[in-house]
This record gives sequence, structure tokens and C-alpha cells, in this order.
Amino acid sequence: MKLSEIKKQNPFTVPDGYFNDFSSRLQDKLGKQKDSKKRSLYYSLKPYIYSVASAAAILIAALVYYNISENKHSETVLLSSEIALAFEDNIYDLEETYLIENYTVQQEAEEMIYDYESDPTYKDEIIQYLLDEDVEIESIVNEL
Amino acid sequence: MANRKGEYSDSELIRLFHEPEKSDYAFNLIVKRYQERLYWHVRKLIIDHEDTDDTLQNTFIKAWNGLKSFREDASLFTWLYRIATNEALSFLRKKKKRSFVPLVDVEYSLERNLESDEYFNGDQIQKKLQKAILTLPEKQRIVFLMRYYDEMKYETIAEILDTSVGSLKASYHHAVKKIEKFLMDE
Repeated sequence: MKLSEIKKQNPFTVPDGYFNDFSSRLQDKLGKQKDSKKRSLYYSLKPYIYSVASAAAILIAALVYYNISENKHSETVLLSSEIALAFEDNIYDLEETYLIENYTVQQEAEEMIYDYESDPTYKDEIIQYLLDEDVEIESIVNEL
Repeated sequence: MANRKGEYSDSELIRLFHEPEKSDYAFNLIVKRYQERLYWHVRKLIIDHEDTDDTLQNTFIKAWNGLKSFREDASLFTWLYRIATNEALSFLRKKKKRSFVPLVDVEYSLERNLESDEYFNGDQIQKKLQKAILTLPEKQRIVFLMRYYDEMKYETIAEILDTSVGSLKASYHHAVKKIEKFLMDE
């Protein structure tokens, strides 16, 4: 059979209204694709967004730490200088205090010695002790 | 500017498409202008209506994405036909990969689709002709369909398939001989 003997015709058909609906169905699909592209743009940028956010967070943390550290350092310097100034300002007072305290202790010690020597009960006990030890009475009188 | 019938030329539609607020409108007109011709081209290659519908949608989605950079080196018609042909061939190759069988079995699958196709209303001779076409190698089949059914000039087919006119003439000649032999033998 020759090809020319066959009537040339399109043997295929389509569902009713197919070509009328095709364009609107295509527009729906294109709309979804546009939305998907927007989402995929977000998702494709997501790692970069996180990277930038992380870098920014680290930078901010570093700046905050640096500032705190600077402040601490300043405070330390100020405190040191304050202590130095205070020490310089008060060194005389400190010496005075030290002297006063020492003087008081010495005075109290002297007072305690005086008390022992002037106490008659204590004198009698010493005399008795010396007598018990066979020390001559004359020697004891001379010492007292 | 639209003609008396209110129709835009292809170049005007492309220009309209490049205006952001008119892209959808222009593209819709392009789809309506070419949907039927492209559908029948793809349908004869793929046979099944649902597969053809998917392939045609993919064709126009690719056209939408590519039209922004389309510079009219080829006519809009040629360009769309090329996309549709590539999409149809891509579909058949994917089908072959999915089935893990040689191409001949894919052709057999297409023949079975033809037998069970509710949207086929040709007589026995038409069905026989379609079966004969399915026995052709891929390139010969495409050339035969474009020349025989779409009555395209060889120059246009050469532009779409990016091949020489001489090669196309030889392919068509071989295709006709094979088909006639098939019709004689059956």
C-alpha cells in the first residue's frame, strides 16, 4: 500500500473543552511555580541569611565583650589609681593610727606592770615565795 | 500594534511580554495562538493524551522562563516548536530509563497506548499507519510527522531540529519507504 492511498487526517482527539481550559490550567501552574520560586529563593538564601546573622551576632558579641573589657580595664585603672591616691592621701593617717595603736598597747603593758608591782597581795606572795626558797630576809628587804 | 482583527504579530507579543505589567496578557495570547499546533505535534510523538498534556504544559513553562531572554534570532513559532520537540523526546527518554528496557519496548508501550486510547477515532488503516510510524527510528519519526502531518518546509524543520535539509530529505524518504513496507507486510 502506498502512503498516498491513505487519506491524510488526524486520528487523535482531545477531551471536550480541553483547549479552552488549557490556558487557565497553565496559568495556575505558572502561578504555583512563581510562588515556589519565591520560596526557593528564600530557601536558597537561607544559609546566607543565617551566615550573615551569625557573623553579625559574633561581631556584636565581640564588640560588647570588647566594650565591657575596656570598661573593666578603665575601672581597674581607676580603682588602682584611686587606691594609690587614697594610700598617698592617707599614709600619714595610717602611720598615725599605727602609732596610736602601738602607743596604747605599750601604755596598757606598762600599766599592767605597774599594777603588779603596786599590788600588796602580789608583793606578799612574792615575799612568801622567796622565803619558801630559803632566800635571806635581808636580801628580800633590799630588793623591795 | 494589533491588526484590524485585533491580533498582534509574534514580534509585538514578545515586545508586550517584556513590559512587566503586560507579561501575563501577552503570554496568554501566545499560548492560545500555538497551543493546538504544539499539542498535535507532541501528541503524535507521545500518543497518550495525559502525557501530552503534561509535556505541553512543561513546554510553555519553559517558554515562559526563556521568553525573557528570547532575542528573536529564530521566529517564535520555530522556537516554541523546538522546545516542544525537545520536551517530547525528553519525556520518551525518561520513560525508557524508568522502564529499564530498550527503546523498542517503549515503542511497544506507545503502540499499546494507541490500542487503548479513548481519544483515537481513526479507522483501522489510520491505526495501522500510526503503528507503522512507531516502528521508525526517533529522528525519522520526527521528520516524517513534521513533514507529512504538519506539512512543514524542510528549511523550517532544519531550523527546528538544527540539521541540514539534505539529511532531512533522506530521513523522510527512508521513513516513507519503511512505512509503506510495513503497510504491505501487515
